[in-house]
Amino acid sequence: MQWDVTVKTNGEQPYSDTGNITTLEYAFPNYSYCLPRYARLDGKFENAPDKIEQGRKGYISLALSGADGEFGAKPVIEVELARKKTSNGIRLVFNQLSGDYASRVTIEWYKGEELIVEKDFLPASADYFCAVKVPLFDRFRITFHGTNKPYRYLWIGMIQNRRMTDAGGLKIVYDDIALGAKDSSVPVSDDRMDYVSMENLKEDTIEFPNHSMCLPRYARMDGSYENAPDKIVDIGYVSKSISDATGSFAVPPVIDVRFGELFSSVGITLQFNDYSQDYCSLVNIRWYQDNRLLAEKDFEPDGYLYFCYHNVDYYNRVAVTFLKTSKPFRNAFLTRIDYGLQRIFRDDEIKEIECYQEINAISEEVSINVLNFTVRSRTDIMFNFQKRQQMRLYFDEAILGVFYLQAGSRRSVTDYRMETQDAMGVLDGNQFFGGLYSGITAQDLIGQIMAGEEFDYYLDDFLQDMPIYGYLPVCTRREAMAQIAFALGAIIDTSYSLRLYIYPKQEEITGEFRKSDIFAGTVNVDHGEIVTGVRVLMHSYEPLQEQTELYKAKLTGGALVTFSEPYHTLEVTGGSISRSGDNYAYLNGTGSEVILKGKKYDHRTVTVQKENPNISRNKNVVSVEAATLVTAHNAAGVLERVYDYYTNNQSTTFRAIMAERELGQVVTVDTDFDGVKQGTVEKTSLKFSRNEITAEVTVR
Amino acid sequence: MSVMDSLIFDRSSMDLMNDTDRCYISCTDLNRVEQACEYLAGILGVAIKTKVWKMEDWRTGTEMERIRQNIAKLKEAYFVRESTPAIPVEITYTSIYQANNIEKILKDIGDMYDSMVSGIPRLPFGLGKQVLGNRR
Repeated sequence: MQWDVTVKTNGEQPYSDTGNITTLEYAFPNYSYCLPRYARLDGKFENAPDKIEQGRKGYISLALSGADGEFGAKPVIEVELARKKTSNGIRLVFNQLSGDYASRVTIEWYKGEELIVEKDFLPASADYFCAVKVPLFDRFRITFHGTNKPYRYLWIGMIQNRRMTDAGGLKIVYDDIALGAKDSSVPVSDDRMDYVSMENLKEDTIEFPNHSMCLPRYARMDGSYENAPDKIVDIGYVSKSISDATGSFAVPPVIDVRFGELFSSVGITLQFNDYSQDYCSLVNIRWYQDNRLLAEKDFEPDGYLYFCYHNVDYYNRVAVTFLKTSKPFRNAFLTRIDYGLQRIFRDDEIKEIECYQEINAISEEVSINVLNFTVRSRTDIMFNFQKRQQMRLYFDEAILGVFYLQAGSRRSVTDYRMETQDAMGVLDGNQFFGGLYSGITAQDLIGQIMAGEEFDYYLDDFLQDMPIYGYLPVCTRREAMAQIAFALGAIIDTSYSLRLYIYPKQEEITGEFRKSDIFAGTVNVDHGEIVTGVRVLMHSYEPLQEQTELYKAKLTGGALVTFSEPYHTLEVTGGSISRSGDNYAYLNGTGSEVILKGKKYDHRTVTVQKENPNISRNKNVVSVEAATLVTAHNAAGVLERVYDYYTNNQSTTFRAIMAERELGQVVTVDTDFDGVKQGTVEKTSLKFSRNEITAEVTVR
Repeated sequence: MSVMDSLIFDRSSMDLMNDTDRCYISCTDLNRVEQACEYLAGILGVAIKTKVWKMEDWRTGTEMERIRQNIAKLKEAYFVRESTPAIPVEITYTSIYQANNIEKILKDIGDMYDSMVSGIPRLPFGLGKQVLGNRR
């Protein structure tokens, strides 16, 4: 989320405030500094209070520039973003009142530790846009060298990154690959260098290094190749054999890949040496089911990244033979192999698209975000729809969400329809066995729920060590995540990131929808049902000694028994328990009668309630009963959150240009006719034009 | 032709522009340098370690430092011209000019030795090598 930024400085005044300097514009008050030629006697400047309070004043440096306007110790502001962003440049708002500004700044943009762009700027006014296009980055650092007038502090009212525009607009990246094939693969080769780890071919991030090989015409002396380290690791596959002067091998190297199960794909993508761009110009691929040859084809790659199109179903072995290299005297290189194809659709291929994203400010429910679209394919390469294939939605190279294929269909010779859902949708299809918890950290419990899932998640530092008490029944992983989020006061959000984010509900206003952002006549202020109070049940579970029979039947082999409520001290006769928890047991039997017994818990509830003291008639009390992670430890906080949420029965819907604003952000909305409303962006239905994203927005 | 005659120290920007073989560093080039070092070490009585490079080898920093130290030992053991390039702080082969300098140092040591052997002026021809009647 765009508001999840960290601003660091190398020194600032005690009253300086950089809290929301990247999203809100601050103005420094008209206090008189005693700096030369600052406080003009024209009535604009006032005496300062004895103590200037911190807050909403922006950044004011400790350093004071000298007689030449240059800083001795240069002020530096570093901004770290939780999610990667693109940039068209950075707007710097200085001291608008006095007209003072920094006369020379250097901005460096980083992606991780890598410096992507560095540029000097010479601002000429107190509101200056440092224009430069920067692809995805997650940190930038601004060094201020001097001021436009001598003896000045540096005042900054806003540092606004403007996302990249005109960078291609809408884009969907579709991984049309055989899901799980790479994880299941075991690639081997007899013809490989000693330093090669074939496991590298199961990864997605291997890049060939810029190290010098001693091959003819390989390491050009133009600074692009470096000495190699003594130990070579993680470079993918390099054959031991080297091709001859014609590029042919005496004995062609072969990579034999076996899989643990059967897979189908539209072909195989090979990435050769992505640094030198050497590739194999003739490759033979054979697909097998066990040892039965299903298909065989020669391919003639024409670049270091090549898709070998050949649709084969139900294979569990692939043999790739490298017959010829693109240049003489080369090893066969392979840095990546994908069992399928990555397709990229732009807006000229996407015919219809709907994208709905939603969060709930108290996580009483966790919605499944969806992306549905139709593409008019420009290639003859057919699709191989497989559930959970990944789609990444971008606009101007900024990520809007990651979705997983739920259903795909062909509508005509060229048109394909895809219906996808986000990670929460995937979690909704997977079971979690739950259990009783007594102080497990959020980090550990969420780790258990997400175990085995393929997507990354990010749990905010604030939430990681929060203890969780109570009970989770056997439920879907989505339901379990919703229970946790509700108990912690967290929000689960998959929008605007490659990861699933779990973060505390935002309280501070970090954005605004001005009249100019909202389409005229689209604002609707809804007044929902008036709620006068909230009732929350606190749950507790005490072990009882009373034994109950949970399973009784003749059993041969294994069986999973799940319980509708938790049990402890499980005992089995006639068989054995291979694994068990509070809500389940895996039983093994050999044909005789197996009896499973367990002891119950005493499930007690205590009600806590909060009502509006000003309303005595027509009461409407909302009751929260099934939130079994609400206990005496957290009930007070939950009650307050639910009460605050439900007693605010207003929501504002409108159509607007989204620009930098995002789901989950706390914003103000200028309704024009009903004042300025404040709330969380809970829902967006995105529409895409060539240059802009607009959305039906719900703020509550 | 002796290895000293095969040293290359005239690579130019034209090589880069025309993408000639001379602007790449391969096992052939490294072996030429190693052989020149070995030859000079033999005649100057300097103990150094050399290696035979193969196409499948990586040009490692450790080996480049060994070559650099070999050259330093050879330069210290004999005379060089005032115009002889300095030994690079690190052999990186990131430019054709460094490659030129490395081989020029070796060439200069060899040339100085050839022209100063036992203080006797060098004969204008290789004694016993020319065909009779072909003297100039």
